[in-house]
Amino acid sequence: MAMISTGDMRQYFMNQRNTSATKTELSTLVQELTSGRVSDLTAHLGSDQPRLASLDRKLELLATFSQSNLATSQLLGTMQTAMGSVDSNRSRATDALLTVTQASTEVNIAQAGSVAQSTFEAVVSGLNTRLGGRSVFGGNDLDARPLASADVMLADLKATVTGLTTGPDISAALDVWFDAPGGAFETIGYQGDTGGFLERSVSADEVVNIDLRADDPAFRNTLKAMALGVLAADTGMALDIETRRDMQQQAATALLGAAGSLAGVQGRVGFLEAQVDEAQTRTAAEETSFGIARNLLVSADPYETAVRLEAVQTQLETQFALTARLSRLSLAEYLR
Amino acid sequence: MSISNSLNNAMSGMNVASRMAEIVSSNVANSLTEGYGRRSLGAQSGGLGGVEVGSVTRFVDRGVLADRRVADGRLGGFEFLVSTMNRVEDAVGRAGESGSISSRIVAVEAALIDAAADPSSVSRLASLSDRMTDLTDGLYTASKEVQQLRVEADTSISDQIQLLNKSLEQVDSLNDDIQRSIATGNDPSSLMDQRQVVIDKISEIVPVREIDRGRGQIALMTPTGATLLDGQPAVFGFVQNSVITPDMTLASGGLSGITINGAPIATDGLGKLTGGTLGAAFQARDVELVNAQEGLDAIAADLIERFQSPTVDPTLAAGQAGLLTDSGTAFDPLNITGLSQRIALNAAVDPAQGGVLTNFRDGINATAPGSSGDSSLLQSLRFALDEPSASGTDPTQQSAASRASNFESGIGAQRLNYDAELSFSTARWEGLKEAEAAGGVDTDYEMQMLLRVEQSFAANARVIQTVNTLMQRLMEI
Repeated sequence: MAMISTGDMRQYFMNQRNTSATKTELSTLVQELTSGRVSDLTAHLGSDQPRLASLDRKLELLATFSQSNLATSQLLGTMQTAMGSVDSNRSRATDALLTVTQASTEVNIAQAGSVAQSTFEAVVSGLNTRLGGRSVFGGNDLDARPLASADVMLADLKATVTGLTTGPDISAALDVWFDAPGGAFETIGYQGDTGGFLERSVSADEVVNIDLRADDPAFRNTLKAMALGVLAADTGMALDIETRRDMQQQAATALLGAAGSLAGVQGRVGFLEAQVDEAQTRTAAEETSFGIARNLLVSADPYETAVRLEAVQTQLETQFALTARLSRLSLAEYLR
Repeated sequence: MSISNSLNNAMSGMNVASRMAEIVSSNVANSLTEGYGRRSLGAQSGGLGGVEVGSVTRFVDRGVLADRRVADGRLGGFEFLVSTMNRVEDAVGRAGESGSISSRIVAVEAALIDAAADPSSVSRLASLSDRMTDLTDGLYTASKEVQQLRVEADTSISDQIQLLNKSLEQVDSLNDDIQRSIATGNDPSSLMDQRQVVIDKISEIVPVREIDRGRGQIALMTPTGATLLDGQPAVFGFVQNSVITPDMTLASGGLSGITINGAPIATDGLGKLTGGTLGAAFQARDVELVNAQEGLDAIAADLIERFQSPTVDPTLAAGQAGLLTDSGTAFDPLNITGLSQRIALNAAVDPAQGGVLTNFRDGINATAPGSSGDSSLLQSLRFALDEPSASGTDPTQQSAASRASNFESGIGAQRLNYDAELSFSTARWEGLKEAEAAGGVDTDYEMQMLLRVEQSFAANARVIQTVNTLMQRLMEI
């Protein structure tokens, strides 16, 4: 017999499959609209998945660098503040020592010497500045104090120059104390790290080398000049007033000369600060542009999704209406 | 006499009408049954007058049925593969989601940057140690999940083989029943319905084609040419492994293949039984999941190698284990299988194993704490991760994070491939199923038949009434 009938199951089967397919699409669109992201990202991206992964990685690393750059800026800022105080102390000592002339009395010399001592102590404590419990001028050693206390250094200096009577001898002894490699400054005075300088990464491929420690020649010269001024006023030493006057005048000259090298050091740190700032700006700009690129990859356009949702909704309603109609369209209904 | 002949004819007519009503009722009752072949009654005119009941014809479109069975197998197979690859994607991590292997590598990189910004901070070193442990844990968990999926595939193969054997025996016994039923003149249609349902179950596992052997018997063969049932059912065997480790493969003898009637079926364990869920399970167990495991092991090998060089950590001797180890020992290029389950943080930096956190900053073999602000080793560790380098198993030069994300996207791409195949198979299957369903019971048609049966029955009853009147008349003479 030729096929003159069509099975009921065909209609049911088709209706069922169509309805379930439409409902699946509806739920996917609803999820995309509410979350703003494409639901199956792998299918949406296809072969672009590694690009998304690398964008995510860059964003994560940029955020981390942004944070660590803040810390590095703070460190450099602290250095600048400390050096500002060192310089102001240096000029205070210079002013005091410059008042000593050939006509100065013991009292004048003593006054100048006490100013020199207080500025020496202020410079030492300035170079021992700590930021968040970490020392700033100690190189890679963040725990120890970079310089021994002023009392210890001055006591050792006094012990070194006892018995010397002429100005040039004392100056030469101070030169040896401060500047000789392996000399007393490097063994007793400076307690920080001598291996290398602080290095901080400011971006994925850029490193700033913070090459400033408390044993920098600029600081040594300043301390040496101030120590000379202090020793000149030391009553425990057997020196005549001429020698003392000469020593303090020599100290004043040396301090004037140290101004230039201190300014140079401040300039170096200023350059590093600018480097970090520029890296920070660049990082912020990159974060914005990579963020936009990432959004373009993963976001679902809400307008397009809403339009498709409307269409699918209408489609589902039509299917429901058709299913209801077709179920009533059977001969058995009419034979009742 | 012709009057008694008329009576006989009318009686036979009513008999056929009632048999037709029985067929109609059976069809209508089974209008929603899967695997039911629409029956129809063939009536023929009787040799001595009247009408005789012919045979009951069972309608089945064999071509569509055979194609639909093949489509069933393909659909089931791809469904299994898509769900397996989905679970591998879950274990390994998807694009854009946190918790993936590549995002854990990035977290380690970020922790290295943080620690380098303040190398004296023990809490930052502790957080670096945590991120590295997260990474090794992530690789371990992913590998465990992959092996678990292999166990599930293995179990699925074993269950399917058992079901296959049982179903073939059922078909064999139904064959005998049908033969006997035909021989004794009964209607074998409902037995044939049952047999069709059982063969449908078989063809999900392995797609089969029916071959008619006469007298209601059928033989079963796969489209690729393997005989499952021809007079005698083939008996399949399989040895299940409840624990599977990465080194166990079919080639190494750790896993078993299918045996047919006691002999191994082929070197790949599957032979000609491809195309259904059985083939998909073998594909998953022996190809896809093995590739996934190899990818994870390659990532682990790459990570261990990057940290093991003395140029990265000057305190290391050549050949000594670096920051990441192969369960405590150095990397061995000959022993990469299963490395992702053995990768571990070096004991020298793990306080739980007697190490000190400051060795992250000072070096694995550092004997005393170094300068607390020295970030050079931490920086060189980060550059080691970022450096594009070739790993032993993969010659392309890429950074650690991009090697991991390429692996993840490879898994995703394979899943998309199977998704595409699945949607094609689904479309084809839907079309064939629809065509098959179109040949089923149409209740409108059966209602029309019923009207005709009613009419025919009423007409025959009227004939009997009239003949009765005639005979009465005769009696009144």
